[in-house]
Amino acid sequence: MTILTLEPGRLAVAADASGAGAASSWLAQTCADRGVPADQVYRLDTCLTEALANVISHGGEEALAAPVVVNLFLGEAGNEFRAVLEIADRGRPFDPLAQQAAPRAATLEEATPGGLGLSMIRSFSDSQHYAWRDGQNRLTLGFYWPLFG
Amino acid sequence: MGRIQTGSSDCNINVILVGDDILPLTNPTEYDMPISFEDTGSGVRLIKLSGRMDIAGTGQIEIPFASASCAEKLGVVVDLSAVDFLASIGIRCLITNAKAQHNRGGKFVLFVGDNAQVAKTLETTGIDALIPMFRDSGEARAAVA
Repeated sequence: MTILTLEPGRLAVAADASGAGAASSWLAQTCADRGVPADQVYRLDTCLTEALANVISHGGEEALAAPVVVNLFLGEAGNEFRAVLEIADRGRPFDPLAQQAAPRAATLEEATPGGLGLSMIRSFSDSQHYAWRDGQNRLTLGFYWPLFG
Repeated sequence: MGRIQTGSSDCNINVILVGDDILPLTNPTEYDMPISFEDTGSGVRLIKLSGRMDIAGTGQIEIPFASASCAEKLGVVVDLSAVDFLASIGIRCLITNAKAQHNRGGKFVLFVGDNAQVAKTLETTGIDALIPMFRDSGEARAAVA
């Protein structure tokens, strides 16, 4: 399948709560400019927020000391619209996709914090890829939806 | 009706990269995560949240929400119908306080109204199976009465 257009957007934010908020704001504006439907923006935002939360919580001092770079590619491919999010951080090497998803609790009493973010990334994105390259964790998430209908 | 004010966070080191240029991001997201509550009688409390339940937003309501939702035995309805965004940290906040209210012997339910995105997040994560979720306000209140 040939990608007809693929326009990049790039943002660097601090690895903290305000940085995550700024990234969501930038994502919403970029998607609005390209006419991305609200429900698709929501799942992009969910995955971006959870990925950044993961960097903030588990990336260590190295991750917190350097900006997290977010690349967003939006484009059409055949009858699909495609969005690709790449989140790159300089934290210690950590493959979130290699982690076991926490089993679902059957009752409220059994529910424990943790593991939800990764589960949400897996559920809300259509493809996931992790690589350690050039001293950075690079998490790449794909989102696809029909152009018409 | 109780009203708890929340403030805005600072955002001073975010930048946009355009080509090789680094530009300051001058219009960051405003974090407005208000919380208010109303006691409707018979030990039922309606807590209304709005805005984004992301890292910053949840951080701002965490303490007032715990105070309003589980400091005493109540039937609590948490109104999420005006919540724009629900992240895992917001879900953890709901779970923690639902557990605490259950441990007091009270009840804790969620009302989402026609907020399809928040409902989908709760369903996708299976939280709706742990904390009862209602689209109808009357049913939500009846469940905790």
